[in-house]
Amino acid sequence: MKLGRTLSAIVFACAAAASAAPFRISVVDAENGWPVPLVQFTTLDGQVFVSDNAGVVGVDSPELYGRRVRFSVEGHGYDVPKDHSGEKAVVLDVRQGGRALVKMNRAILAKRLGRIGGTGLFVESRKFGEHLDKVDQGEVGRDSVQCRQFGDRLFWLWGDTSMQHYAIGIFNTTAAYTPNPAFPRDPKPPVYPPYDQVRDEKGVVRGVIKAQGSGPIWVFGLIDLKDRSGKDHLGGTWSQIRGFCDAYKNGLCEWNAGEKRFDVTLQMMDKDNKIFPEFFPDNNPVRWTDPKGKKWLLYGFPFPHHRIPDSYEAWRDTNTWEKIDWGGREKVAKMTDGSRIESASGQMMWSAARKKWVGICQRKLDFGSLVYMEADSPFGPWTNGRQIVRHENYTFYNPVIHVECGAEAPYILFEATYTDAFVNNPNPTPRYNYTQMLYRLDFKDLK
Amino acid sequence: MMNLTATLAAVIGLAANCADLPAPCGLSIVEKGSGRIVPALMFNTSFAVRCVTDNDGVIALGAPDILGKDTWFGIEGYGYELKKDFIGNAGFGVKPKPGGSERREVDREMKAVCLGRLTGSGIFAESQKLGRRAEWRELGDMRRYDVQCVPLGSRILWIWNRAVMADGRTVCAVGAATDASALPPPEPPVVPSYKVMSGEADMFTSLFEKPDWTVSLSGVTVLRDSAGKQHLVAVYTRYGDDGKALSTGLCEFVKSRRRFCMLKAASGERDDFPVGHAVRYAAAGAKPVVLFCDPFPRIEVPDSYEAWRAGGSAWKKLPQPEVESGALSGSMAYVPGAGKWVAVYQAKKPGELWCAKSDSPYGPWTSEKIVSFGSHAFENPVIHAYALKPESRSVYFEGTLTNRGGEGKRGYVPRILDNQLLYRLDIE
Repeated sequence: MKLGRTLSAIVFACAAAASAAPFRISVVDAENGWPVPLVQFTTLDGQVFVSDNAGVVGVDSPELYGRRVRFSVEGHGYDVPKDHSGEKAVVLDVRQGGRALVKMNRAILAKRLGRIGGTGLFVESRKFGEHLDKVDQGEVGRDSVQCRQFGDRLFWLWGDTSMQHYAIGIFNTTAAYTPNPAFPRDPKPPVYPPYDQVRDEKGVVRGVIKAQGSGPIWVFGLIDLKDRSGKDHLGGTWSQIRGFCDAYKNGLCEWNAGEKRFDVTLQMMDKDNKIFPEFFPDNNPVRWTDPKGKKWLLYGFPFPHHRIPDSYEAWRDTNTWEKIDWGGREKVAKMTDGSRIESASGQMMWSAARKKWVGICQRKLDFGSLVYMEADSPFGPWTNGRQIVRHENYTFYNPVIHVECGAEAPYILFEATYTDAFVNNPNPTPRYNYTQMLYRLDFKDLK
Repeated sequence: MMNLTATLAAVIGLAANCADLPAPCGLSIVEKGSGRIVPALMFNTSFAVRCVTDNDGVIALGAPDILGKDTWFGIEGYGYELKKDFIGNAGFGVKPKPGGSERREVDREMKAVCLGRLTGSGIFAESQKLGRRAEWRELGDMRRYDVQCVPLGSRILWIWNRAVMADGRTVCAVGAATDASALPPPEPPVVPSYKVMSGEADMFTSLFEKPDWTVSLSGVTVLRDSAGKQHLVAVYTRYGDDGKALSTGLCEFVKSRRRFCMLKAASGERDDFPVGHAVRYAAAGAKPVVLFCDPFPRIEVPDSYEAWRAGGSAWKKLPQPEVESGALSGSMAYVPGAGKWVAVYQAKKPGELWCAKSDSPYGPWTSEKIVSFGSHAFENPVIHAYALKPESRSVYFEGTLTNRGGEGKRGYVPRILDNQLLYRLDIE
């Protein structure tokens, strides 16, 4: 089916001819020459062109050809110099079939690798007959990824999913497999996610968990587990949502690989019946071995607040779940300037390369930025905090680290949802809005 | 598998050498019932791509991730709607084929008919992407707004207070002419036909003697002096970088300099000057006057150059009528076929456009809403009074669609914002 889609895309691209090539803008990082995705070029009359995963923009508005055109430039952490009006902008001689190179100065510590969800990952390049083999998955947006190794592959799931054919999408969690690793070692842009998407019999992306009430149902706290017999399990915590992010029911669920769906195995919270468990394992779990050699799953966002013995049986047995006593210490990260930040969401992992626990978090009240931090213990103190990405008037929520890259890697890969939610931005970024953006942070850049 | 891979690689290689793009699919938007085309109507896909119909009422769907895919287009137009579905979404699905054509109908919910866009670039851009309108030439501006118009002999003189060029250059008080015989079309599409004023290389040279000033002209009109000589006059206002008025005064077009030149030092506030849109009126048995309206008469001046220059008691300030919704800006004219004075104006709630009718230019007025532009604003609506004939029962008016003012979130409307849209309103 995948091959069929690829071939039809290529044949389609060679269909009836209309015109010569558009004006090409190639956007690169001035430091390393890497293509830079998500650079927005806006004309004075509100036409928006955004660089694709190959850092390419195809300007195809006929009225711009032959003109000297000013574009304001928003690179979300990648900048061009400000012009006389104080705005970041470039003026380009736009010609049909012409081209321009725009070099961006990276002002953030992390490097943007690209978008790994939504439609048109290479839509601009395809205007030039390039990347025709890269097909879209059929969804146009989704949020809140969870990714875990399952068998010899990676298993991915997302919260809500937007579709192209209608204004309303899928609200009962979508999922995919990829090879492990999903991206080459030492990844550079352009990236292309090799998803094997869970689809229905018609080949359309489908939900993977049955609703337990009205409203969306999400799965968080995804974790790969082994039982006593050594069998692999993939578990998570489902939440049934109403209103604005109000989880009114939740419980445990397990991936049914044969049926390609999550089966609900336990209900825990039930607000309508006033049942409120103290804890449910729905944050980003991380593996940790205590000084006595006992293995645990730590649950936090990213600062751990509960722990579960690292086994399938213990994960299913709520009696084994324990609250972590921080002894009065603050769950905060200390920035290099001495300020302290609270985390809205985030994840951590052990880095053997860094010889530290390293974490990323979305800071409260600064929805478009992520902060890096590190510690000798998952329980802190977390220090050396630095802002590593920023998105202007945009939200970048639910960041996760791709722990499968391994502790030895001299970098971390992380992604989060780029969305106009929670900010007052009347101009959502075409194709990028409500999709997952992948970044890379090299430890050497922290010096 | 090997053969398949080799084939695939060969096809990919071939495709990579394709010099041509797939032809877009033309999506035509028409009004249900009449079948008339609908310009300047915006649609949003579920992945935040905005598409706007050009003056031919078409959108060229050529993006590689839209062609061949079932795609939802949610309507975001003003005055044109679609019935919401059971979930509350208004729009339609299209699966555009390369080189194909699709047609969808929308309901017109306002009394006015949108005839098209008059200024800015890409007025027929979508049609041009479809290989049509090859003869259409752009003037080079991207935003041109805040218009004044005045009959001048066999021509109509148009002055726009701001023009922003593609490269970012902003020019104040630019002008052009059209033939007085070239009336607005009763049905879309409108095809603007502005001509460069004589002696100028292009339209985009300031007509004001201080081209580096941020200046607006208002109350532009032609007045005769006692010797019968015609004078093209206006009120200028100079603005500071903060947008506040610095000075206001009278100015007159000097033919030898081809510029409006200041007549005397400013005195008083801008509102004390004959600004707005000039309307000639003569009550039974009374001397003719010029009413400077915005939208209702604000200043009344005897119809002579000398009175206009005299100021002081020659400028009679008029009380403003109470109208439902209040009025921010607009203009009025007498519609002979309807036997009514008609005003079209932006309400105090900036996104709302209203119409008022009266038997007298001084009111009282009865008013009704024409359309709401929601989060955007429709500024400075101007009735094309020159186009009114004895039998006219319709007014043509234009105004600036802008994201200044309005309510709530205000996003781009590609190519449209800060440009002039022309409408026809039938007077019952």
